[in-house]
Amino acid sequence: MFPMVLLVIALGGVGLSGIRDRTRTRTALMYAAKSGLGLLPPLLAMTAGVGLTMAAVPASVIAQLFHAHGAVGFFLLAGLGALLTIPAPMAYPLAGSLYHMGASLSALASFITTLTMVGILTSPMEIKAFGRRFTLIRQALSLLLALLIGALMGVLV
Amino acid sequence: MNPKVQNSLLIVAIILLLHLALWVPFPALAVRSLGQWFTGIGEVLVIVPSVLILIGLFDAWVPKEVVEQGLGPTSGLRGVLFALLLGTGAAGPLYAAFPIGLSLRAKGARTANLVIFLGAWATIKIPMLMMESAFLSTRFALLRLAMTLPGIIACGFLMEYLEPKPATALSPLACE
Repeated sequence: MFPMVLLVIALGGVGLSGIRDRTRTRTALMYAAKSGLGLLPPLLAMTAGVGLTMAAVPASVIAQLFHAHGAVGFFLLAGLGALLTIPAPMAYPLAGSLYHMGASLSALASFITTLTMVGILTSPMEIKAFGRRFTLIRQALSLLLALLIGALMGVLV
Repeated sequence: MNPKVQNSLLIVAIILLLHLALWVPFPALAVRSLGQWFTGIGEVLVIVPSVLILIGLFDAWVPKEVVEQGLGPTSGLRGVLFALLLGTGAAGPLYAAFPIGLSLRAKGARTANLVIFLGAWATIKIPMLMMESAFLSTRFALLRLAMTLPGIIACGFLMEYLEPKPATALSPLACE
């Protein structure tokens, strides 16, 4: 249902854009195709990794890991998210799989937030652009924000 | 052939080989794993192309030059809104925003707006909101948005308080 709505909106946008400006629409579609092709290898590998994990480890065991060790699961996901910065089109499917495996929404909220806002592995690029102090403060504040959002999500959901 | 297509085919080949190797001792596991893989690919393929098209359209219709105006020290609330709007409208992972952030700073954007721009770029994007709704739930996506939005703005002003004097801007070419 939802994917259909999304597709209709996207196709409607392409149609509208095509009427207004053909070249610009072509650029937009080329961009989509190019970034799609770029995303394909990591997406294939990620879905295979998730698939193998789900096939090999019973869902109940994974769920237990997230439930019995709630705080551990929470900080594990937040920490993992803080280390990596992956493009959002990959972050959401991954979070969706983790949700089906039994991760709590609260842990996933902080996971997604750190995944997109905090990137320890990509921080050299940020330091190069804005300096060490700026990078350190921004990432620390973002990490705190992510943990706060996760905790609040736990209360609200 | 396009190297990205080549990479994808290579990865598919590796995954299939791994499953073949797995199939010899554990046939049931290999079959189940492949099944999960196809399901996962299917879930991604029905959503991601639409999202990428929407991002492409955003990127094509919001000119980059607009991104570099109107965020100065006296921009106030309008600057904050503008920073949010710019961040949500553009495409790419966070590190793609660094060169743009640099030129914003070089053109006199205040620290709060710069941080808000980076934060919005990272986590608030309308097409991404749809994707988040699809993979988690609409309620989850909206709740997270409702918390992230004030959080990012607070981070921006806190950051400006902690580091009021902007560091000397390096050349925008430094991180390309």
